[in-house]
Amino acid sequence: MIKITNLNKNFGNFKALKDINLHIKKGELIILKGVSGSGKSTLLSLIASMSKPSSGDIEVNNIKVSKLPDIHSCEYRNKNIGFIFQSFNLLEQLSVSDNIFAPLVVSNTQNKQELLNSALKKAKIIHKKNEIVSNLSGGEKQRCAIARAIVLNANIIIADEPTASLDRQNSLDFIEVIKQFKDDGKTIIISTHDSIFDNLDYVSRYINIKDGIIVK
Amino acid sequence: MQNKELFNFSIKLLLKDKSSYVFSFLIFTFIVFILSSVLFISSSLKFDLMQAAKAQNQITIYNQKAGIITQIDESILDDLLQIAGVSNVYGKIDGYYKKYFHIVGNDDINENEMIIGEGLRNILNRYHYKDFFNFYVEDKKYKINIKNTLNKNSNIITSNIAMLNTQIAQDILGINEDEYSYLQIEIPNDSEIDYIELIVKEKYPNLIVKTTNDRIIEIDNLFYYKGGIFMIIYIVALISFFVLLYKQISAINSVEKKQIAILRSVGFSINNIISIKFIQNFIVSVGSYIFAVCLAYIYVFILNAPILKNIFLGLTMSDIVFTPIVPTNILAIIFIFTVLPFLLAIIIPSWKTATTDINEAMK
Repeated sequence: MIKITNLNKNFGNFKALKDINLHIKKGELIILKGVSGSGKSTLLSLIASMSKPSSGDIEVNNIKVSKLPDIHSCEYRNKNIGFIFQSFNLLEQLSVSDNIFAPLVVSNTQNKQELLNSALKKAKIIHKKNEIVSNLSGGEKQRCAIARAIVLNANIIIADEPTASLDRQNSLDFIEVIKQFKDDGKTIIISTHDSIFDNLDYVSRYINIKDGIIVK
Repeated sequence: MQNKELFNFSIKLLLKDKSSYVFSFLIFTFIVFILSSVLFISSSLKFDLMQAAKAQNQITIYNQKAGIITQIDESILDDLLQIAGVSNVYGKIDGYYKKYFHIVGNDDINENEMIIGEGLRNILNRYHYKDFFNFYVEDKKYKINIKNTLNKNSNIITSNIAMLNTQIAQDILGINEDEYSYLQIEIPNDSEIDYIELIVKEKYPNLIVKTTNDRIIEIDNLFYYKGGIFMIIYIVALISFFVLLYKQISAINSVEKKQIAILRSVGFSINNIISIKFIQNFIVSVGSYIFAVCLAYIYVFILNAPILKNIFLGLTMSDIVFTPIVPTNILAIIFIFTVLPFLLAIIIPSWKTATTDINEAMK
């Protein structure tokens, strides 16, 4: 489903990713492990087509997303990717509903209101749907971010250090949500160095990244 | 459907983020208010002067000596009447007594009476001349009763006017009995005006001959430079420059950069981002434009432009009421010179931010 070939990403003279080759099958749950600055987040943002590689290819469902022009990469992100950020990256001044509705604004799908309500229920944040995001706790913001990621039924869920800003209970809750996504058949890629993700029996693979290189 | 949702979403963001737009709204309103007020005043004055020019007979003749306008002898009056196409020639008495009285002679007014403008009435009231005024000329005193005051809505022409009997007006202004301030020629057929003008100029090369059209052109020129488009463009260019500068520097702050990056991360294209910024700033600029024009209308035509009126007309004409004139073509120019640069000033940095790396903008 996701095929990464000879992927390199440079920031000036700094080589963030070096010759990455990776194949992720549909429905896999991948945990990317590595210390801060190892290149995990860079890899995730390239898979989500939020930035362009310096060289190499990323193919998702046989489409070279690394080569897509802006208008198509936006459409790809909108339809296929649900991204959960470490700092949630929500529009703080808007309500929970408005935040979750944001991907629907530029989507051509029908029944947007139904999709919104469904995402609110799945992420267990429906009781706070009219609350302004800045008034939410960390756990609630996480659930809002999850709802936004799944509102368009994205088949790829990407989470970048999703538990870094959460307490233990909220982190465990997040793991439950991830299990649910796995059961639903979604492809999930999580970057983390949180030990809470260690030894989970439903994780397909653990991949270590060190200095921009995948290590066994 | 998608466009409607994008529009609604832009409005939502605008309303939730209104504090960052208040400054733009206020500055924009201030600029357009000042420009529109100046424009309304100059248009109103121009309109009054034009009406006065059009009301005068087609050709006006002045005498000049050493380049200075002086009295004209009535002896040429009969001569002018002989010109084919001229139906009548009038001698007019017109001049200033002190600095406040614009004296105009009128044969229909009794010798000891005068009709005055609202502005002059207020000045006389201030000096307790409620029923009469004494004009002193050398060792002679003329006690003239105030018969009437012109309509309250005195314009620039009539505000300081004092209409007196022609004979008395001549005495007060020191004009001899056989002299006038200027002559007016009535020509029933408009197509003969230019021809008669040429004849008068040929016969009396030392006189100044002006047609109604000449007067209209003079007024046009006066307002073209003084209160017209050039003044507006200069002010707009200057103030807009500072607004643009401010917007360029501060419009896309770190919060807005992050907001754009978040929207990009969930699938908004560069065009979507520019559309949002365009919608938001269009609403702010057009809203403040309409608000400012309405405010200027109230300020000039209802409140009678306090402060600005004194700048335009001086304190002696403080009682003028402006004729409501709304010059839509120049309002459109103001719109183009304010709203468009304002929109460009925000769209260009928005586009720049939208095209930068999403991860970088989120930091």
